[in-house]
Amino acid sequence: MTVGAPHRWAAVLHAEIRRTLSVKLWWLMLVPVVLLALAMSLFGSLITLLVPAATETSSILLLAGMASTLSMTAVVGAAFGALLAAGEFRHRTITLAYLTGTRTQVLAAKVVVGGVVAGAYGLLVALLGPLLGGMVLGGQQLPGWGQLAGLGAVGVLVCALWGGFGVAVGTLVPNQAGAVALTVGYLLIGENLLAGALRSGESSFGDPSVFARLTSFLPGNASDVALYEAPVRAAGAGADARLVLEFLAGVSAPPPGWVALLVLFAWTAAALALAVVVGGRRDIT
Amino acid sequence: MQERAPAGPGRITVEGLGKRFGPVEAVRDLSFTVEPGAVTGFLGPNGSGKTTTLRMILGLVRPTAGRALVDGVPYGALESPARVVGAVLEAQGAHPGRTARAHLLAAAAAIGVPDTRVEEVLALVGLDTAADRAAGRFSLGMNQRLGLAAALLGDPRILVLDEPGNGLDPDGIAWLRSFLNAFAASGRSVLVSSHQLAEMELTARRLVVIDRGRCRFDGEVAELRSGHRGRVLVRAADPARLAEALVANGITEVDKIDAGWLAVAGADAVRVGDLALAAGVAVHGMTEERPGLEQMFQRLLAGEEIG
Repeated sequence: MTVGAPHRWAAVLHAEIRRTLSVKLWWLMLVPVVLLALAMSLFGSLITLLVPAATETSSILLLAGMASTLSMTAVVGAAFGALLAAGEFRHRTITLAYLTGTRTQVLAAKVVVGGVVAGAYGLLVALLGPLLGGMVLGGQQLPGWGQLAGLGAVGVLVCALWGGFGVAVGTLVPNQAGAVALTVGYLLIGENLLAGALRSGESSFGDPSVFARLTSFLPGNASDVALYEAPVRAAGAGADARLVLEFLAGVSAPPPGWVALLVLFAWTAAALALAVVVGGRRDIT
Repeated sequence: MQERAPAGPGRITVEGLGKRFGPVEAVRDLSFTVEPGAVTGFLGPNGSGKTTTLRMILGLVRPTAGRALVDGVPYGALESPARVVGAVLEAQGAHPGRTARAHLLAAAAAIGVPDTRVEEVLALVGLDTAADRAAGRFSLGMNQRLGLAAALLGDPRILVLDEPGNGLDPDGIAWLRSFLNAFAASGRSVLVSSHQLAEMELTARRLVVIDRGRCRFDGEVAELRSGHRGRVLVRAADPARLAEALVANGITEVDKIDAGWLAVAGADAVRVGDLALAAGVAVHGMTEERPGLEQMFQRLLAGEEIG
């Protein structure tokens, strides 16, 4: 593996930014993000209409809705990363990319761009969510700025990491449709099935088994643990907090949010390390 | 930041190169060099390993044996590779939704050349008026020109082209030929693969011919030609008598090819004419036939020895 001079890394990153901004993909993927934010506010308004008592917990509802939307936005960010990387193979543009920069430089540039764009999706939801939610919930009690900023920051970080994870998948699976199907399918279905299998036979009470504890260390669940920690803490559920977080994130014995973020970071780093090795050895025929 | 191309002669050296894809041996023990100052044609039938070899030279395919060096180092070890080698390997190597200008601006950023260079190469390949059209709406020939524009961005001293004439109209082919000849005449190197043998005969001074992954010829076109003798086709009033006269004078390779026509190898037209006159045979027509590159290529692949 050739490392190359620092200015070469900057040049390849500059090229990647130009490549990304010169096609429609990055803003087309904004459509599902905005739709998710709208759906979240619609859900909030329905709850306040159907459950009058919900007005007392409107701040928790908004935080929970935002966490849920950020979780879905992370899936969109991962899909963007996968499309960004695998698209180069589909359109045969990878040849020119690899002729003008080393493979590691190209991968690193894609991770930066994928992470920034996916993080921007998260930021959009973090900004749009409270605005739309505030409009729906009117003068009811809204979360404090600190809580919103904290959840928003975690959301941006989670989305950015998933953007990088998607780039790794798109490098490992050069078939564009396959890379997106694998990423989205795993996050929406695969991981739930895996977590279900790990938790099978477990009860909500008593100590979870070693297998059940592993559910918190799956990448998608780790994101959810990090994201749902804020609304659960805001709810002040006390001893029940763990049970609520387990329910929302679909895990057993969730670790603290910062540990969950480290877990997601480790998964992303591992996927990228694999992408460096596999992508570095692949023949571009 | 604008980068400068590192100094070097612009030489490609291929040493014992081999590539195996599972059970298929695509390239085997291939060695040749590409020298500056000449267009080197890389010829071979479909599936002979040309594209795989070019991609191994450019670090896109990992050799299973041997090595390919550009100015003494592997392509991947060049600090600014696109400032040394410009390559066109894909017939359509641009994103269909990206404009030609945007495609080149991205490549210019990666190479480290100023954006003004994009306008220069667009004009050079004749795409300046189509620069803001999406590459997906380009013809195959326009995509070839766009690929060449990207290859020229870094003002390289070596050009590697894989079937660049595909999709070009006759004017485009003539333009490409003069461009490549001028590029080589400026002391730089061109390695171009093609199956258009007649065109290659007009363009290349050196040839590397491969078949089933093995090198069959590596040298000057003139050297190849000297190994393949021409014939004199002569139409005589009495072919049998002329044939006897030729054989009597030591010219034994005489074939009757048509009514009244003889094909004579091992003598030029002047000698055949003199012998016909001496034998008193009227000659109604005579022409010298020199083997074209296509015929030499076919003979090479058929396993005939040169010389």
